Amino acid sequence: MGSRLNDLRIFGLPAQFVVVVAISLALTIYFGAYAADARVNARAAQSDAAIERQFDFGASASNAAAMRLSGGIAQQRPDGQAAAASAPEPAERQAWEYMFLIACPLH
Amino acid sequence: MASKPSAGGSAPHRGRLIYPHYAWVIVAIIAVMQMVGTSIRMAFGVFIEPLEQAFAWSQGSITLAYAISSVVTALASPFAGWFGDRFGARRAMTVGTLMFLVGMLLTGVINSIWELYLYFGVLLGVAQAIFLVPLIPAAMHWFRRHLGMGMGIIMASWGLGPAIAAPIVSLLIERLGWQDAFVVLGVASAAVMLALIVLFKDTPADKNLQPYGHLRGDPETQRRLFEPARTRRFNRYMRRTAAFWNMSSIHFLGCVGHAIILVYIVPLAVNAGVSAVQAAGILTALSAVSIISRVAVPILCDSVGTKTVMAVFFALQGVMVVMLFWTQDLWMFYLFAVLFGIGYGGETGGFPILNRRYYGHAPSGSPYGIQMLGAGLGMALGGWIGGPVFDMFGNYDIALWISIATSLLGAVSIVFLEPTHKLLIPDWEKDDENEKNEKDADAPAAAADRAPGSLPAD
Repeated sequence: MGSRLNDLRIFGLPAQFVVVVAISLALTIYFGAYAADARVNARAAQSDAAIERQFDFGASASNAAAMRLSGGIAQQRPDGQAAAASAPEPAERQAWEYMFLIACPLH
Repeated sequence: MASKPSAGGSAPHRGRLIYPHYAWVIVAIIAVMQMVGTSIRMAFGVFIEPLEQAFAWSQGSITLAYAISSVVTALASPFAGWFGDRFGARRAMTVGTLMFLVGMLLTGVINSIWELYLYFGVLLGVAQAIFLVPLIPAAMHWFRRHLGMGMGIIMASWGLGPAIAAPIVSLLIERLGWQDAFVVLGVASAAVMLALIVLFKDTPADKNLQPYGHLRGDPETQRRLFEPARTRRFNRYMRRTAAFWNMSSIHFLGCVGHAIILVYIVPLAVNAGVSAVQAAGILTALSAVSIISRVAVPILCDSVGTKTVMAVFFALQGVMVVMLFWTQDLWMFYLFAVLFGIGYGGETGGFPILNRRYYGHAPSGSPYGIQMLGAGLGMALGGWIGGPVFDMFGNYDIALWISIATSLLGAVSIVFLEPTHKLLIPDWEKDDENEKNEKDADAPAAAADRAPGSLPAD
């Protein structure tokens, strides 16, 4: 039986070797994608929290809370572009995170 | 099985198992070279805090250098094996020592993280592949029989190295600072290794000796190392055997199995309520016990049977991990360390013996290099996978199951390897001679066919 198993080939390589490589790659991709997903979500959550803190600070410092909330923000940040630029952007995915997330169909 | 001397066996040993021979000097040189050459990676942990303080780098950034070094060593292993087959272990050791010296000196003067990755990760990683891979086949040249004894001593150095390196490096850092520690360690290690290289000989014929265990009637030892063309031919035949590929995947599985434990036993024990210092002691006990099986397994492979012994130790390595699911007390962790250490220490030692059984006295640098590639990648995967598992589940249970499964799968794979009582490609040199002769015979007829006005082919 051992001899028959050793004669079994997939893509010209021993079946046993191919199976080990396939399972190892699958595990690596799955756990790597999980780690990448967790990191991306963590950064997004931090970014959202930072934006919320920034807008909250702007409202309390303007001394005209409800009336000038939107205007106050406009005064402090006259143009929308400046406001957008000063709020922290969601962090870009790093290359390895992107690769793992693309490779894993479950993430 | 220990060989019995033929009637009128060689005078020097007259059938004795152990007798004075320069092969033991070679074994000692290789053991020391491997201990010294790999000491810096064994002791890398003691550099983390000094680097953190000097540059304010995160621990993750610093330990990435270790990971890079491990992966580079794995990827460079097949090349290192080929280099040893092509140019000889002595030249390989010289190149490795010079790379080691340059890598250590440059690491001592780094100013940026990328320099750490380049000098420690890449340069020293390649140097370590050279120390780990070609020296084992070099030792095999020196043993016609009783290879297990020589391998046992060399494998023991893999267990002693970590125990000795860390305290010495710690002391150097404390007295001299991390930068001077790298310089002093690099220069002192290189000096020791270069002195040993002077004493080293690639083959017994270089000292007008026969290999250890040589008996009257055995083939004479080649004076020259394997010719490049002959090595290429052997590699071509070797890659067609299933064992060449399967041994690499088996080594990978075994290393995944024990890397998970080596990396995560300390945090696992700390989570169970053991103090950090005591948890570190568990790892030390595990490494110390492994020395026993590192020495014993190659000898047992020679005398009992290679596949049987390897499968047993792989299975032992896997089964013992089951203990960790209910281990809470310190004494149970130490018991685990002893039992697991026995299996863990025996995981590596059988591979050179297996190579000898399958391929005889053919150039074995390349197959061993591929096996070490599998081992290195296994160490990298096993060392990493526990982290995301813990993040996902809040415990290491799945990682432990992976460790058990890979070790047991390795044991089963060993059982299904080809039998070891005969060579896999016994006639590779004869087959190649026949091929060559056939080509030479066909060549004049083919040339005549191509010439205008020639006679028609048969």
